[in-house]
Amino acid sequence: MNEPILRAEGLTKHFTTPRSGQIVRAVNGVGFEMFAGKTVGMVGESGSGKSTVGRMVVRLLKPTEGTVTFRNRDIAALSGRAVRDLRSDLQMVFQDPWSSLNPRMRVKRLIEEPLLLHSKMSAGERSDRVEGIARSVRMSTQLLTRFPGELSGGQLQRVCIARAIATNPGLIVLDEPTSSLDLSVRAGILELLQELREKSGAAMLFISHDLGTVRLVSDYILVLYLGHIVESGPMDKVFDSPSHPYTQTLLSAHLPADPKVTLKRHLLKGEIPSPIDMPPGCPFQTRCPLVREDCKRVLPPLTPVGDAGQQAACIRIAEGTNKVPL
Amino acid sequence: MTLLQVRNLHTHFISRNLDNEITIARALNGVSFDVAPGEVLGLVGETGAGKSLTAYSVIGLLKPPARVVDGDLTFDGKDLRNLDDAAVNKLRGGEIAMVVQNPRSSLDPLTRVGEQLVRVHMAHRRTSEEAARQRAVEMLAAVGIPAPQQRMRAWPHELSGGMAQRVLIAMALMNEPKMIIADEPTTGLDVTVQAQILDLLRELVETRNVAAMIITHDLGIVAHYCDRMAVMFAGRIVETGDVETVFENPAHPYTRTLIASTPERLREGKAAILGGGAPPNLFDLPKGCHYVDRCSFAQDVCGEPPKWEDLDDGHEALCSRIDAVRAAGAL
Amino acid sequence: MADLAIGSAAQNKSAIDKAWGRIVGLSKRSPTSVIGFGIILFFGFLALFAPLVMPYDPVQANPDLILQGPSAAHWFGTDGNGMDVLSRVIYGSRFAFGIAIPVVIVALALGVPIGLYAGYKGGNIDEIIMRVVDAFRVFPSIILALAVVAAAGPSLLNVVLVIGILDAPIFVRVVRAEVLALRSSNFVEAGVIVGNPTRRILFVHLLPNAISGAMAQTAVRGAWAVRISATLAFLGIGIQPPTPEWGAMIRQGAEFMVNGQWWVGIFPGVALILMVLGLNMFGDGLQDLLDPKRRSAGK
Repeated sequence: MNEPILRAEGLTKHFTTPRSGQIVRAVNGVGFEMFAGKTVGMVGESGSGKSTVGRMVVRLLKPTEGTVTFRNRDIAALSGRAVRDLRSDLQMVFQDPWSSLNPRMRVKRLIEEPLLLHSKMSAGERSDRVEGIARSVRMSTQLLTRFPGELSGGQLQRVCIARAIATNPGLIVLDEPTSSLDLSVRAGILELLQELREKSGAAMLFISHDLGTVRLVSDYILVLYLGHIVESGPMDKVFDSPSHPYTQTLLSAHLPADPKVTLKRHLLKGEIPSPIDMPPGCPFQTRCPLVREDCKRVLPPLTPVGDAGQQAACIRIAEGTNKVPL
Repeated sequence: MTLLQVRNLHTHFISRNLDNEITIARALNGVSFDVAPGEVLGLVGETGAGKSLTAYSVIGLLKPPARVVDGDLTFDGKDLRNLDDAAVNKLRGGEIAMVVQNPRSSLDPLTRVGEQLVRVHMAHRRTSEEAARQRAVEMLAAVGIPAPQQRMRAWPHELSGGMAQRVLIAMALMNEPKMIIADEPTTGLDVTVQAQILDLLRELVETRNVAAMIITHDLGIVAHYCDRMAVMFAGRIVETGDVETVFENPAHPYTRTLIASTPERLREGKAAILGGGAPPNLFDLPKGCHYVDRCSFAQDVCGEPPKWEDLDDGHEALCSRIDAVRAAGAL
Repeated sequence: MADLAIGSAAQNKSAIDKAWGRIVGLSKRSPTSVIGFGIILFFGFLALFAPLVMPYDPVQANPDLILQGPSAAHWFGTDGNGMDVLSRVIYGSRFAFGIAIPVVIVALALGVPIGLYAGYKGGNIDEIIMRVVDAFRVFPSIILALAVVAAAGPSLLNVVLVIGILDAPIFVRVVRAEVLALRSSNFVEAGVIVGNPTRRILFVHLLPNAISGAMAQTAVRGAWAVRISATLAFLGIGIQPPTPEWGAMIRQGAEFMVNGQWWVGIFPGVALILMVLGLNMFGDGLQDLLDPKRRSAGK
């Protein structure tokens, strides 16, 4: 395959709680690659660290450890001005479009802002470009003179996407971009993202807890649990034959919107534990139906499963005893 | 036999604006449905369609300026609209229990979990505290909370989201309700936890012959946990029927859009019937079909109030262009 | 208000209608604020047209007319220099506005940027700024003002600067609180992501959304400035007699009070009370209008 546009290695983020000074191990040694024109889907429950990874990729957060190599340059260590210059190439769309736009700025100025900050275009050129962008996100140019408060959720998310693509970035992180939208609006946004990816060739990191959506848009998937990647691989491979016990249970808990699909249920007890007191060994040990003594001793590394690029971190895979019984 | 019968329910928000003019937001405009014991009805629709408002109208928890202005609400043979406050209070939390989203904010943060369960029970039954405590432990166990005896002494902030939702369900069960209304019961919970909660709810319906209504915007939940579904749009139910029938053969153009927009259908490669668009203005609803501005089948006839079309066995849709929709073929 | 200017004519009209509707609604809900506004308008009129309304020159001493009681010729009587008290009270309104407005501007110019920065940066920077602000707040401002004005000299400029600086912490607090509330909405983070430098985040994105609370405080703070400057003058530290400033006039009048020559001190006193009352009453209405939280509570 060709050269990745972004490579994250050993990405780690630890926070210190303000009062007690405990260390929250939000992300622990995450590594992955992203390619132009491809979408990586990142799934996990709340507390899995997926949003933190997204924010480190676009350098809204500085990693505690690890490197993020973007266009052959380590951006993890950059700061201030240098990060700001990167913004035209690294963009992000947030979950809640209602609060992601300055309510006192008109849509036109909102879309224009990245151009103003990163290009030397004249006012007239910017104005033309803004209209072009509005059309490419399938938004009526009449909306350009409105304020965010006058737009619907779907329209607002289109404005957010327009802002993100204004400077033709090479990589866009989408943090649950459709979760807060109504179903019929959601489909339109997903279609738009698909179209933009094909047209612009940008790499996308699609963060979501909705497996159906991730499956729809992604080429490659990362499954996060407690800040660790427990499984990764090409979308269809992982969905068709999940190998980590967590991936198996996660996929089995997904409810496809089709009553004819019979659910194969692996019941998972309990909830994701706190990332403050993490036991040594496998992060999934407290809930895993297949847990055994040696799971509590060593952190299993990601190892290849088959030869199609799928990887999982479970010691049982080598023995072939990793399938969770129904 | 139905337990809850809602007929022609109209709930409006009547208030005055800054210019002192009376304004009416017609939030519910003739909602009718039934729920029978042992059955789960799924109420779906987009934000602002009136799903939660329907529930709040039924259990009499509307806050001004919202008001039920017309319609009949019959629960277990009793006319809910003509009950006095005391009787409605007795019903609510007793025979009809409600499970809301944001479980943690629904618990009193300064009272131990067990105490809250006991209070709910004693508010409705003449019973000893000992018996109430006994029942609370049983109910916590019934909703799958490990070590219920110890959990009785837990504070709400010590519970995780899933645990808090279980406690709320336990609270709903304290007085052996005949009906449970669950308003987005798993929004904000993780999928693995969501599955646990919904399994629990479904099991309760089956083993205790309770009637349930789940309000959700997640068609996955409807597909797998509900028997019948009602699709709401702008304060009206536009289609109702068995879950499998509706998913297989959605009749109302809005339902078709909803189902075509699910990731599962989109993945089949068919172009979505894009149904995005602003919801109609509740202050100024069209005279005829509310969906007319967003509907690809709309014609002049849609300017007249639509009539219910019986399709087959309990499957009905509120659309004047049903023949045209049918002619367009299945999704 | 900038929005109004950009909008089309049709939008303008509806916006003006809306604003008028608000004012009518406000006068129904809070008649005191309308009365307050009336008082401010009244003094504003006096200040603007002082030369036209004053019957005499306010600083023209007249040895023949010393300490005369109110009469048809001198409605408010004359003071110890034989100057017409009515004219001096009228002229004094210029000083009231001349202090209140620049003081509030100085306090806003200092307090708003500091509040924006502290709220946005958070952490240690915020902690340090807020400690300093607290230190200012706990120290009795009148004593601080006394000390500084005494050291720097009692010019109008010094009085304005000192009172303005002393008042800035209020605006730091108000603005910081609003910024803290705004930090939870994503548009700030989204602003960083498109590459806004901190300066632009503060002044383009945060300022317009965080300023309403501070604006709501301006009238009340203006009242405070008028009061403090009068106090300074009364204590003999601020503006000096025979300048027709109300505080200075009250100080002069106090000497004559014991002899029964009450008019020298009472009339500027009443003017001061009215002005402060008017600003405070109006300020209350302003807070109702600009602060959405108070607006809903008021209903």
